Parts: sequence; C-alpha cells; structure tokens
Amino acid sequence: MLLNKLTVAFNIGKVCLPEALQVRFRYHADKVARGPLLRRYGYEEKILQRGTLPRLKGADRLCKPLYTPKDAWTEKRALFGQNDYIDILGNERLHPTRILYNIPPWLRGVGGNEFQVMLRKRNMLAKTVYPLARPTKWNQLQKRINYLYRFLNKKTKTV
Amino acid sequence: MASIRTYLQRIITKTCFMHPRVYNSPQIRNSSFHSSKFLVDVEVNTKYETTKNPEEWKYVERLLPVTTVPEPKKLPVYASGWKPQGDDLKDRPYFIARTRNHMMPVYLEIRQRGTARHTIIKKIQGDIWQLEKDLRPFLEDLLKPKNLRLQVNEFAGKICINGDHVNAIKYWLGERNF
Amino acid sequence: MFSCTIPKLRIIFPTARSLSSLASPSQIEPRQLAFPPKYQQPRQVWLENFDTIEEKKLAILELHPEVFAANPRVDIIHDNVRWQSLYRYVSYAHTKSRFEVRGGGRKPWPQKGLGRARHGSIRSPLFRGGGVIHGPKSPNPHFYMLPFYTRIHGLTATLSIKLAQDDLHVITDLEIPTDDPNFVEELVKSRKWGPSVLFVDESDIMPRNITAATDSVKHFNLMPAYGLNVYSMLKHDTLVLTRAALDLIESKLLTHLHKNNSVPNTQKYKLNQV
Repeated sequence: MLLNKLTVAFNIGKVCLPEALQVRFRYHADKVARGPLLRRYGYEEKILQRGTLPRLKGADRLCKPLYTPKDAWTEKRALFGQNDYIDILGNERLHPTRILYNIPPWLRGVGGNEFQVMLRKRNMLAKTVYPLARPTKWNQLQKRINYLYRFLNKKTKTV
Repeated sequence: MASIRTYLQRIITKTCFMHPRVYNSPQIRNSSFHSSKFLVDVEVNTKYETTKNPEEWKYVERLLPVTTVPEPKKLPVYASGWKPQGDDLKDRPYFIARTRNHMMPVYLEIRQRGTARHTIIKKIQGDIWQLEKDLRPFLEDLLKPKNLRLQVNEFAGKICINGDHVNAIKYWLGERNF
Repeated sequence: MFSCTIPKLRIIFPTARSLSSLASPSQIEPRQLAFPPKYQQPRQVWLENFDTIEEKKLAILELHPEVFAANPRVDIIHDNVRWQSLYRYVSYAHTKSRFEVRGGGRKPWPQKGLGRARHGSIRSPLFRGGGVIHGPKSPNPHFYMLPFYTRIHGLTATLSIKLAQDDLHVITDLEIPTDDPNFVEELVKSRKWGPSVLFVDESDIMPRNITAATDSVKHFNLMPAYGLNVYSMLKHDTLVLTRAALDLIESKLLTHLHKNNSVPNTQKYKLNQV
C-alpha cells in the first residue's frame, strides 16, 4: 500500500530524477500509464530519402547567391592587352615579356612542359632563401623533378 | 638603416641559431614593378662640347646605318638585269607590289623532299581573277601537253602554280612593267 | 586587295555650317606620306577639333594605304587576340599527387594473410582521399610568341577595319576647357562616337583636364601610342587618335614594313636573349 502511494505521488509530480525514475512496476497498468521509453533521442527520421525535396510553405529559402554580371569595364579589363605591342610601336629593344610583372619570375616568357618549368624554378630559387624558408615545398619540387625525369625517360617516347 | 639592420642581426644570431643564408639574404625581390626603384638622373661628369655645323654633320650622317633600301639610281639599263617597277600603274586592274628590297615577289617553294615544286606569286592587289585569266594562256603555252595546276587565294592575295616557273613569270611581269 | 569593284570615295558636299567653321588651309599642314603608294589610293579622314562639344571639321588628312587600307584579315586578327589573351595567362590549378598528400608512408596492412587487396600506402590513387595521377600542376604557363609580322599585320588590319567602319577619328589635341566628365560624355553623344571610346595620344603624360574627366567614366580610356593593341581596339567601339599619335603609329608601322634588317625580329624567340 505504501509503495503504491509512493509511486502515485511520483507519477503525479512527473519527477525525472535518477533516484525517482521507476524501472520496475508492481502493476502492469502503471507501466502502461508511464508510456513507452524514449528511444533514439535527437533522431529525426528522414521520410524523403532520395529525389528532390518538396516546396514547403513558410520554409527558409536556400541561400543561393544572386547572379550579378561581371563588370566588363574595370580598369584591368578595360586596359587588357595594353603594351603588348611595345616592341613594335615603342622601343624595339623592349620585348613584351619583360613587362610581365604579375607572374612569378621563373615563368616570365617561359613556354614549356612541366618538367622544363620545374627545372627552371629550381635553378632560379636554389640560391635564395626558399629552400630553407619553405623546406616542404622545396622537397616536393625535388621529388617531382626526379619522378618526371624517370617517367619521361622510361615511360614516354622522345620526339 | 644599415646600422639598425646589423644591430638586429646581432640580436638574432645571439638569441637563436639561424642559417647564414637566412639572415644574410637581402630582401630584394627581383624584376617586380613595385619593388624596383625609380630611375635616378645619373650625373655625367665628363666634359664635352656641342657644335652645330651642318657640313660636319654630313660626315656623321654617312656613317649612320641605313634602315631601308633606298631607291636605286635611275639608269636606262642595269648590268645585273634588274628592272625597276613602272610609275604609271594606277590604271591597271591588278598590281603586284615589289618587296622591300625592290625585287619581284615570285618565290619557289620546294616540298616533299624535292619532288613537289610550287611557284608562288605574293602581294597581289586588285582584281586577282583578271590576273589569273591573263596568266593562264601564257603558262599553258609553256607546258603544252601537260596540265596547268593553278590555285588562286583571293583572301591572302596569292597565286600558287605547280612547277618551277619563277623566271618565266618574272619575265612576264617585267614585260608588263610590274 | 578585293576582287569586287574598288569602293569609290564618298564625295562629301560641304554644307554651309561646316564651311563656316573650316579653319583656313594655311593653319593646318597637309600630311606627307612616306613611301608614296604606287597603286592604292591614300585614304582620307577628317581632322576634327576637341575643344567644343560641337564638331568642327578642320581639314582632310591623308592616310597611307599600307597601314589604313590593308587586307582585313580576320584570321590574323583572331590569332592576335588569342595570343594577347593567352601568352601571359598562367593557370594556378593544382592537384596533390600521392607524394604530396599528407600521410601514406606506411604499409596499411601486411602483404599476405588478410585476404584483402595488397596496398603500399593509403594515399595511392586507388584510395579515396589519395593523390591525383596526372592532374594539373601549378603554375602552368600558356606562353607562346606570335611571329613578328603576324603582329604587325594584325595592327594594320584592325586599323583598316576601324577606318572602313567609320570608327576611327583624328583630333588635333586632347586639350579640353574643363575637367567635367559631362563635357566628354556630351561630346561623344552629340558626335555619335559609340558607347566606348579609346583616346590615343603620343606620350603617356596627358593633359590634366582630360585625365580628370575620363577618370570617373570607365568606358572612356586613355592610352599612349606605344600601348595600342588589337584587343583594346576591338573592345572599344571608337578609336580616337591625336594627330601626333597618328604620325607616330604610321611611321613606326611603315618603317617595320619597309626596313631591310628584319633578322633580329624574325629569329626564334630565345628566353635568355630577349
């Protein structure tokens, strides 16, 4: 009787303390009254597992950026190509490759395959601080050159 | 600036080890527009005189190199067999300009290891089809039993003929004062 | 150069208005053409003023046909535009190969006994998260050099096309009375000079007023004569040259077309001897 009174008191108050949570019940009816245990807490069942999602009213819009056409008349785009003919219309001894300032120095006027470009990079940076300042990159450069040497000489045909 | 730099270098080397290449390397970034210094007027200390004498200048002018091949002296006949271009060619339906060296623009192209020979006439202005009409009888006469293979490139102003007819065409053009 | 009938020059009957504003012939010197043309007629263009919004035709200038009536080779212009876009382009796309990807030094499981496939490292291209085999490696340059005379013919062809399509104008100076951008805008509008205009002068130091006026307007651009190029001429609708710039450009192009020592220009491009 006392046990019954205690369980009723706890059930009315719906106390969730670990000390007060009931695991075993005297009467099956009380267990049913408690309801099912909460399992898979925080799990949201995804009903739609594939395909496109439905349009829900009041749902948040996708954060997709608005299309803005690029400005064709910025300074860079408006004056693109200036001074490319400087050796024809200006000083004949000034080649347009000598005015390419926005390119890494080992790439100015360089046209070639990856192996040639890597070798040039190594030659130009070897005596600078680069091997000590960027040891990982330097090591990767060396490895790449070694690999390309072996690959081009053993796996490809020379023209 | 130099004294501050050496002072800092001494602090760095005393406090921590650093490779000499690291602390000795100057922060020069080569061939960059933003890091290059502006041009400075170089003070020329050598003494020199300036004179303006037109007669003396003639001796300087004759030493300067000539950039273009000048018009040759007008003679009735040239020993080399070269003929200058005529002057009254504005009424012609077509016109074959001379090269910068005053030669005729008729070239021999040899391909296919010497087996294929083409004659090319370049720098044709005006009605190129009229030139082809005038050339055809002359060339067909030369190659009597054989066929004439001729290609007109109107867009580029060129005619390409199969075979080596450079001298024949030069003679034909010379007759017409081109 | 055309097989069809050579187009005749338009006979412009001077109206009363333009006659009254014509300057006296003694003020403006006629142009002397170097390397006088033997067959093609010299092309003619109005010399206009730039001081007032209203157009004043001051004189007729003659242009050398070798530069301004050259063959309109669209294929050469295409080659030039492609070269200008590509020769300075560097692709910075980069993928990590198996030796660059972090990790993967150890053999993941023993060779035999497990029943699994044999592997040497977890960063081989067969693995998820492994290196890319022959992917792009940065930086990748797309540099190449166009032959010297192809570039010259590109310039002459574009100038000829600009003149033939009424998009070329010659003015005396770039001096304007105010530094107000509205002045230039109204001038361009009244003369129907196209939405975008490229002003070309002889030197790179331009008068103060024009620089202040065109600074705020993005589609009116100033350029020195040595900066002229095919891409800019095609991008801007109208090309406006000063008389000094016209003389410089014509003389430079004609010397290149007629000089006999072209060996240094036509030799193969060597990087260390530029």
